[in-house]
Amino acid sequence: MQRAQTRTTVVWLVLLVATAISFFTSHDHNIAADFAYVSICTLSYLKCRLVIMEFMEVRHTPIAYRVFFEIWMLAVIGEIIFFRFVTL
Amino acid sequence: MSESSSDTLGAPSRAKGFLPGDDGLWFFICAEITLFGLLFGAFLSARAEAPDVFRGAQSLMVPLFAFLNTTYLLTSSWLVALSVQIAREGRLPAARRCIDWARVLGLLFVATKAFEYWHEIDLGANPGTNPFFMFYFVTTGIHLGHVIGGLGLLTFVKTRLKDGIEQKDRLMWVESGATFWHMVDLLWLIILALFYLLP
Amino acid sequence: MTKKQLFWIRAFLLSFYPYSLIAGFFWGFLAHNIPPFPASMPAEELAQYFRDNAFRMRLGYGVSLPFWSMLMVWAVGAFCVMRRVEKGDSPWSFIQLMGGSFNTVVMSVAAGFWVTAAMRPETDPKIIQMLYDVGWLEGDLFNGVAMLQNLSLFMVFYRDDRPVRLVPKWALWFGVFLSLSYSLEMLLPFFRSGPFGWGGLINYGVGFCTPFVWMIIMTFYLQKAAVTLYNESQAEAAQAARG
Repeated sequence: MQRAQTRTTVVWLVLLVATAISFFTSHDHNIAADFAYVSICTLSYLKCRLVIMEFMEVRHTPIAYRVFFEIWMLAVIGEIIFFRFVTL
Repeated sequence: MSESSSDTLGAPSRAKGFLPGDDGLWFFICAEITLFGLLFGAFLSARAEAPDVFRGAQSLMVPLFAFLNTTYLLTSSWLVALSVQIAREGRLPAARRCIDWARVLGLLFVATKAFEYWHEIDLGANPGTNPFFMFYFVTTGIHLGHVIGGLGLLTFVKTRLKDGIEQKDRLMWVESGATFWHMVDLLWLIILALFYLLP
Repeated sequence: MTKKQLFWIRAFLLSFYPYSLIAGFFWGFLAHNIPPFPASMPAEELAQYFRDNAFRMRLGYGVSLPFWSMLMVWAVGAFCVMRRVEKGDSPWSFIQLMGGSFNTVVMSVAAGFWVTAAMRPETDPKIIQMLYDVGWLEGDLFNGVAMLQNLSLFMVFYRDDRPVRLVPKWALWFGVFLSLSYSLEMLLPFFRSGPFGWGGLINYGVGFCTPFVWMIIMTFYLQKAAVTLYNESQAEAAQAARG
């Protein structure tokens, strides 16, 4: 069980670092807006996936729940990218 | 859905598919995040129609508040996840301490959010100012409601983490409370991206 | 429970299915409520629609109005099942009964405003608009009764510990989710269009339409529960007769 707690702590640290990188990317005006947008989307996707799979333990749940959460994540990130790069 | 939440000590049973906490609560969680997904879509659609209005409004947001709030929620999620693992080992005082600190961070989130709202209203922003602030106040307001509800749930969970209550029931409560709290954290990560980070 | 009582309990519950079709056709399709006109629609345009479509609007609202009473009938059926599960003074069962019955009043009153607008569409457009507004605000904002109805079903059936539950937990949690989503209707006075308006994706799609889906699901499980409870009562009576 100690290993589980270590793993959880590592996940938390990765989340904090990813958050810091996201903020840096968002507010650094030297980075092109499109690149920053995709980077933040990617980091958000990875962070959400860590929370879902590790904290919520969805990686252990029945397959139907994994599929639902994977689809939800892709749908949310997908719509974020869609509305930016596809002209309405 | 799995029939038992865990083995005798509480380690997840990987063979059958393990659903932490109350299995019906997961339907609620899925429904809630679907609702928020629709809300996010409505926001993005409105943003695509008036990008300048949204960009201008977003420039008034203060990144520091968002950074602090994200740190509070991620750390409290970490503590709640630890409390579940520790409770599975039967170490109840340590599990309760984790819940306590998670609640403190949750309260800090509420206080920071309230201060942020006050700052924005002071600048002249309100839900009627423009579509960005309409979505911002409503979405973060609903999320804040979930944070407050989650704090209440964690408070109740703590009362279940004591001797005299069956381990099966203790785990059901702490796992359910944790699942709800992680959902709150998950939704915040998207809110963070939409309202604060995305250029 | 006698066999005749079982028949009526199931009939009250299952009546929701034909009621949904009638309400869906008359109120939803004929009276243009799928979706409704937004609050942002100019009064003249709304009144013109009522004038141009007076017959179908009167028919739609007029025929569907009495059928809102079926919400009360359903609540009675649910009550009869719930109180056998809750036993004793069955307070939560009564909350459900009252909540469901008041739902009928709420929607019937709302429909009364709308049918009034349909009856005299030649009147001042501002009056037509106000009647339309009052109907939707009254119909949506009196959602405390619906919240309590959902919550009471959860409170009674959640504690059911039969090996095969009478109502699955996910259906009960679905009701709790909807109950909480009704609180978003408090935003109605602030938004005349968009997702939070009475015709919007959130307040109409989730807050108004999805409960019908939930009631279809609950109808299935509640009428099945009635059969289970009847069989249990028969088994108990047979046991008592032998003993």
